[in-house]
Amino acid sequence: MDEQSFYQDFLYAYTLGCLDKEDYMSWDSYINSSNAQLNWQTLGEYQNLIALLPSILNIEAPDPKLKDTVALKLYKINSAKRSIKAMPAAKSETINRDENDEEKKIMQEQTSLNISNEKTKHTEKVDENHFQNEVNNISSSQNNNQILEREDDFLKLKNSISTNEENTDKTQKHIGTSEQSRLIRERILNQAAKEENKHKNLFIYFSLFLFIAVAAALAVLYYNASTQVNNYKNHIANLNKIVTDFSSKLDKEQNLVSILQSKDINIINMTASKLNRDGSGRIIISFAEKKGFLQLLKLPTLPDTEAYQLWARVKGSYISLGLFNPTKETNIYPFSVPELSNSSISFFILTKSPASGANQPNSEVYLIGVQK
Amino acid sequence: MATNLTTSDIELMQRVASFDSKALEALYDRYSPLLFTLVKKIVSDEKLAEEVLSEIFAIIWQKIHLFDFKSGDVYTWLILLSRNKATDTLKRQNGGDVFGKYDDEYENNFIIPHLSPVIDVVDIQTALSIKDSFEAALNKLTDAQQYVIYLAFYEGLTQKEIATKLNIPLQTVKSKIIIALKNLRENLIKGDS
Repeated sequence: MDEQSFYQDFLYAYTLGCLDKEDYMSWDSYINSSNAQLNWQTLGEYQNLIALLPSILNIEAPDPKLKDTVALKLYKINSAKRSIKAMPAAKSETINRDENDEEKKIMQEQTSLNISNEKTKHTEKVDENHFQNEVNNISSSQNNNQILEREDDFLKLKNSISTNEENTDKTQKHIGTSEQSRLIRERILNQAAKEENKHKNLFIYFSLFLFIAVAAALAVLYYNASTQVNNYKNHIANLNKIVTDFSSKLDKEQNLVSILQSKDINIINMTASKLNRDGSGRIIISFAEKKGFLQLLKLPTLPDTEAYQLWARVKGSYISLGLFNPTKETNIYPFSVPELSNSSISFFILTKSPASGANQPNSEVYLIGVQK
Repeated sequence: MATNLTTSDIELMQRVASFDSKALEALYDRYSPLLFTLVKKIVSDEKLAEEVLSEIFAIIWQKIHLFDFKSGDVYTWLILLSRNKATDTLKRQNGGDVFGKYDDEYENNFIIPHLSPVIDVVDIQTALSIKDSFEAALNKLTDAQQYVIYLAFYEGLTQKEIATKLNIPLQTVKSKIIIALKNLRENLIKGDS
């Protein structure tokens, strides 16, 4: 899209008065530049078109008193202008000294410009009599209180206008030519651009701060979440262990129940030896099921390198029935029974053996149980 | 009325430029109902509308030299001046986004309209005489197009503000405005012919 087409599209929003600040600045620079090639006819047509919008509204006349208010307002403006003109030159100089540097510069530019004589005439040509008549009309149509109010307003406005009027006069001179108007407009736009840059910088700092804050918040959230996940993992592991233990316990109990329900069940009480007088034990065995259970009570805990080993004395030799290591959690241990008959066993002993087991029982017998 | 209706708008403006208060009074009599209606529609408050209207006539009185007498389109200048002043007042009152501090320079550049140097002259009688045709042309636009025009002209929203308000992309708003105005113009021309 060439520059002309680009700005031609701006024309519609400009006409409707809805250009954004950046677009307005861009548009304003373009139409005031020497190379602006705008379709001025189209712009004029659309300005007229838009101005027709209010014509379809239901026309409503303002309060008739408003006309008097407007007349009074204009009268005050003219009075203020006259009083400003009557001010001594010395006072004007004082005011000029108070101007800022930029305004001084413009004042210097003004001196080189021809200020229209017509403007000077304007003030002098003001139809004072007419305004005075308007004021008289107002006075006759209002009651005394209203007149007093208007006079108070007049005094207040006069004071404020006397200051504002200096600026008005100066500005009117400034804008005496289109060149001055362009310069002033450029100055406003430059100021607006500076303000815009300032806002942009503020926005960048704010965005950076926001980014850091969000990153920190995310890091904290991540840390908290990962800690929580680990906690949950540990908790799950514990629960799994508990479930496993319960399953194991349940299996044992089911086996125990099945043994207890069998017909050929044998229960052998084991008594303590000299090595451990407080200890005791019990063997529940089913030769038909080929299963048995050993219950150990008050036996000393063994290191990991050692275990208790249960032996059956069968026809002059010992048969190992398993290795056991009592823990806090359980004291009943299942074991398998080889092809044996009740009558072939003479007694059971429990000895301390290495953790891997021994081929023959040693002399460290902890419990002894005799088959009845 | 101090000046009869046969006096043209441009003649009145020329006399106002010579600080003829009777001419301003005539201009007030001619235009105040329409301008007051427009301003009241924008600010939605009768008292505020009266204040704004009196400020508008003060601007006309003081800044008449900024009117382009070569173009001579008084009607459009007054309507756009009133619209700009009223929407600016509304925005400042509501804390909306405006282009800068209100001072003389701001008023000269953003309140006083800058008409095209090539423009046909419209007067209030002509504008009111084609009111029905214009309303018909406006009603032929889609609801969305009418609403976009309303938001821009009467609420003084910028394109970005309209996009935010309607929650649609900015480019869509820009396109809608261009199409709406082109269609409005076409509808009016077709209706007239």
